[in-house]
Amino acid sequence: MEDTQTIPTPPTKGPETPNITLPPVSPPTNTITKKPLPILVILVSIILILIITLIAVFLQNRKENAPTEQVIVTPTAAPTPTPIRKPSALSTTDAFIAFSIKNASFSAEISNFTFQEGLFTPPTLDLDLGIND
Amino acid sequence: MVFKRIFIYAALFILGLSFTSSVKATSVQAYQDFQFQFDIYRQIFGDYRVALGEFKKYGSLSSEQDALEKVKTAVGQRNQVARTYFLFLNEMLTESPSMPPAELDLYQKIITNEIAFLDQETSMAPSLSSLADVEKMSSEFIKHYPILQSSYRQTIIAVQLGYLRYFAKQFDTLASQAQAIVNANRSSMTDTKRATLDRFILALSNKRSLYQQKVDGVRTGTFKLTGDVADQDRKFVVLLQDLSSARQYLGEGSSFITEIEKALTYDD
Repeated sequence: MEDTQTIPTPPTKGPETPNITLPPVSPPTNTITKKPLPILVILVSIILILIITLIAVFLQNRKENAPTEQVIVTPTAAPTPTPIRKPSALSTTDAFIAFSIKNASFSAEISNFTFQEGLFTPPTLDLDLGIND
Repeated sequence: MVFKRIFIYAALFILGLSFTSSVKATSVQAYQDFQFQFDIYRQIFGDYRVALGEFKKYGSLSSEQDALEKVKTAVGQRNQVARTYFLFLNEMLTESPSMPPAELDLYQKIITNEIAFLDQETSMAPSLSSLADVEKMSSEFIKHYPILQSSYRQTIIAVQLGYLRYFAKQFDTLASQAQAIVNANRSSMTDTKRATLDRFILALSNKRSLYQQKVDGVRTGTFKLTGDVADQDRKFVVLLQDLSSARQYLGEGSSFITEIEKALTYDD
């Protein structure tokens, strides 16, 4: 679009002067450039927020999925003392000691007892001699 | 002086070792004998099958004679295997620590009768003159086979019941001792401890009744081990499982006695 302005010259009696063509005058720009700026700012800020959110989500996920560090337990110089239980007066009597020994012996006997090998499998013998086949 | 002492200890140790080997259970030896006879039986029966195959293929007199000789040996060895297993069970019965004399007598009679039948069959084998005679004699064995298998199974159950009875006797003694100790010291216990011990006593008495139920069921089931061998096998497996459960109940009961003992060992 060529905006050329022709200024009309008043009629003079002198020699005729040629028409002066002025260069196009640009309209004031400050109103036009101010409009797209907020849109750009909004767009950029949205993109920035999105990127920050994505990074945050990514970091959070990474933190959650990270393997837990193995806790190496090293023996301490002073272990936790086990509470000292006071033995009863009964536990030192001969009758109770004899009972404990008998019980220990019985528990061991019943838990370790096994039958002689082969006791549960009587022999299967051949009945058919195959003479009449 | 020191050397003399070492020598005496070494001599005693060697003497002890020789003693332990001499008191090795005779049931172990009886079972080894059975295994040995069973291996021979497998070999002899294999040889007989080959000879019978030859006879069926060629039909010659010599092949028939060979098959006859081998089948006579095979039948004799079959009886020998059955016999050695009965001898093994007899040893197991004798070693059973808590077998009532009446029951021992009953099962030993069963074993004696079975061995007598097998010996009679074995003694007849050499006089057989044809394969048809062998087949006829073997049919007697086949007819008797379910009774033979039933005798095996009933005796096995009796042996196991004998061992369980021995454990149950020990269990009862320990349980009554534990209860007597608890009752004697009841007044010096806290309420909580008394309640805990009462719970243990109740639990062990429950286990004892469960044991008794299983054992009674097995005793009744033993006499139903008759008839078809496959059917006997099915019933036998169930009875063995019940015996195993009965033993487990005693073991669980024993752990309650141990808990009572632990609770009585300490004041708190």
